[in-house]
Amino acid sequence: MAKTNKPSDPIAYVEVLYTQHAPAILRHLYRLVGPKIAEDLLQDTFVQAVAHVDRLDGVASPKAWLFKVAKNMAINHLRKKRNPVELAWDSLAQSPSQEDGRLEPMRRAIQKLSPDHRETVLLRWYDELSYEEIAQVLQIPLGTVRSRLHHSLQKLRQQVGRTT
Amino acid sequence: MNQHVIESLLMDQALDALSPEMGQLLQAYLADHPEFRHLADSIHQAVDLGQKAVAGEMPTDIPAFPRKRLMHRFRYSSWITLQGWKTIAASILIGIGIGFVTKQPSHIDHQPNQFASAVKGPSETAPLSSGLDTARAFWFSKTYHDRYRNYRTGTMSRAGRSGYEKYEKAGRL
Repeated sequence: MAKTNKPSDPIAYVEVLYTQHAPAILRHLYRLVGPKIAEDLLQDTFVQAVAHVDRLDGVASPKAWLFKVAKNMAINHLRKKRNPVELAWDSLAQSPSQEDGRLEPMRRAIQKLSPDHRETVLLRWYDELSYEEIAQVLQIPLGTVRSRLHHSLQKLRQQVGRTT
Repeated sequence: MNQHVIESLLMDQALDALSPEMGQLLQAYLADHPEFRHLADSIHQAVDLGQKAVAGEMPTDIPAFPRKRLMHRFRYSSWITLQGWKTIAASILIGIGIGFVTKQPSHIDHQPNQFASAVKGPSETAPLSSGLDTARAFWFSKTYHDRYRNYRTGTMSRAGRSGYEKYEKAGRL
């Protein structure tokens, strides 16, 4: 977890964070709201970062803080559109003809997980966040992250083992 | 170590959440206990498959840093903060001013208030010194008036009634 040193200029500080984390956050937003809205929400996320730069400087992981803001932005956006607030990942499921035959059962198994477990798994595997960062983004204890991942992994192993 | 603990550690290792020292200890343990090798392989395979199943490419066309918009927002938020402090300071000053004025000895010529007399009794009557005291006296007297009305209309409890009878005998009502 690389901690950025806050320069005297807050805009420059946020720009450093943008360079470091914008690709990952944009990818996260793609998953949540699709590519059209994701870019707007990315900008809004960093506008929030500028508005709360003092708070951002004090957090253990600015990346997790930015992810949390982005996630809340996405949820608000979905609520405004009166869409069910379910953080989707369907748009990512690729099915090229020559891929490993076990991937599709795995995707189906992931989709069958409860929303909380699925979100935790995706934050780990798709967004590549650490346990600590996931705990910060979801505002749950570290032990809960661990148990959710373990539980999900057990279920996925069972389900994929059954289908293959 | 039982199977549950081993499984838990193997999952953390497969999820890249085990410290290197713990990882080494686990490897050493697995070397001595080959019966867990199959479990380890199965967990690592599942994680590998899961990661591949959800893998998406990192977006390449990242929008440029919106410096102009952020500068504007930063200036605006600084201005809002400044305005907020100014408002708080002004409110405090106004509050102090009002407090100072109301705590000054009043220039109004006070008359003993008949309602206050009813509440406190003739010996306890004190001149009203401010608007706040007037309000308090009003609500006290209203309460007593309501109780007196209840007493008269017979809707008061026995205990309350006996208290009022004493007052009535003493000629206070």
